[in-house]
Amino acid sequence: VSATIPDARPLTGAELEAVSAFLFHEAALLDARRYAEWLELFAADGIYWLPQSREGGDPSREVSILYDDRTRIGDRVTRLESGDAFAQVPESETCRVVGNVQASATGEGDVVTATANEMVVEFRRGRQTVHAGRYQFDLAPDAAGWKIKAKVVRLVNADAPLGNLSILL
Amino acid sequence: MSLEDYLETAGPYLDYVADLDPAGIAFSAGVQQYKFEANWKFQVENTIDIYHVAFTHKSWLDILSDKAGKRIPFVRNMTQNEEWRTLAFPNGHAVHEYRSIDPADQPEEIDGGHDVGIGELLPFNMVIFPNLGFVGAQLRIITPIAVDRTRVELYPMVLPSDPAGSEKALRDHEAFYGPAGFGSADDMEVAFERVTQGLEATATPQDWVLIARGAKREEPREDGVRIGRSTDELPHRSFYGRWRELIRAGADAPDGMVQP
Repeated sequence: VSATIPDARPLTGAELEAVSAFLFHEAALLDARRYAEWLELFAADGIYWLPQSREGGDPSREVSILYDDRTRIGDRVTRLESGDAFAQVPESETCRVVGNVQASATGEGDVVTATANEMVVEFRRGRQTVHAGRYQFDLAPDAAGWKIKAKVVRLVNADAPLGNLSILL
Repeated sequence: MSLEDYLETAGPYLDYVADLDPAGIAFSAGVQQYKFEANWKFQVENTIDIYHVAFTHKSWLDILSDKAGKRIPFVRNMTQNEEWRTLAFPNGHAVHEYRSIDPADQPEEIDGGHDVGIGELLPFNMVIFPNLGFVGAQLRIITPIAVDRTRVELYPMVLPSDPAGSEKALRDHEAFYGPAGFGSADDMEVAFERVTQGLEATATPQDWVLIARGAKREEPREDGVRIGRSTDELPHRSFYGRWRELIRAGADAPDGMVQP
């Protein structure tokens, strides 16, 4: 997961719109809890990462809120769909907004890196919680559009104590 | 009271933690933090309780069993493996161990039967009274914020001599622990917040929580340590017993303060 891309070519117009549409689709699948379809968006080597620090340190040496490879993302989905993930019984209602989308062609193969701001409002058992942060998506082209090689969520409160975070961000 | 006197017979377990690596353990991996709306003592109980794993963490055991292609033997060990046992130390410290830490009392082959994919650097769970815990690959600090609000910090332990093993332990730790962990999130929901709601369901003073499992089969050892079976609530009784002593002593003290 690269943070700075020196040779990046910013995307505009129809190219940027296509990336934005993909991010909005991803968000809509999560709000609808269509987890199996969401899982299909990830590449075989895809990563889903919530760094514990806002800057997002080195996961080989530092603990994360979560750092899921494709297998563990699948486990997460299996668990959420099992009915035995009690942290999601009852399930949370979520409503999320993805905005300020920017995207660049990285020059590494055809990989596109997109950044965006996200705000997920979660309502569960009478409690409403806001999860706000910055997205980074590394997207590889695929016959159907893109596959997610990396999804990084840098929560603004990543280094504060968090409550039950069993929803997908 | 000196630290040695305070730890007393629980001291060797802390030595075991410190000796995990010849260079000593490092807390260089940062910290996970979570909070929940329940009393801090539930998280203490949870730290040395094995019994809840089979139902609270059913979804996790199911995932492990699915990967293994067979039922993992956690429940069988809990009920039948005599190496799995509970220990209550003076001053309220408590341990659940999966095998003895006595170098003279080691099995020929370590079977890893307690491995549930959480980064098992330690063959025991431990609470140093009142709010310091050790589980898997982590040091845990439990902080009361209010009677019904708690903050928990999890510091993963890093072994400087084994970067690859430490990285694997980090990933295993994250799978189960922390606010998005497969285990911690369910603990917050079931073991802490729903238990609190249950306790609030009636308002009669006759409402007791029994912590009596295995009370009749505690075995006192010569050095004052009490031994119980894996499923026994001996560690809970040890912790709450000491807590009650101190609360009573505080009530009797003129300024409400007691020295441990």
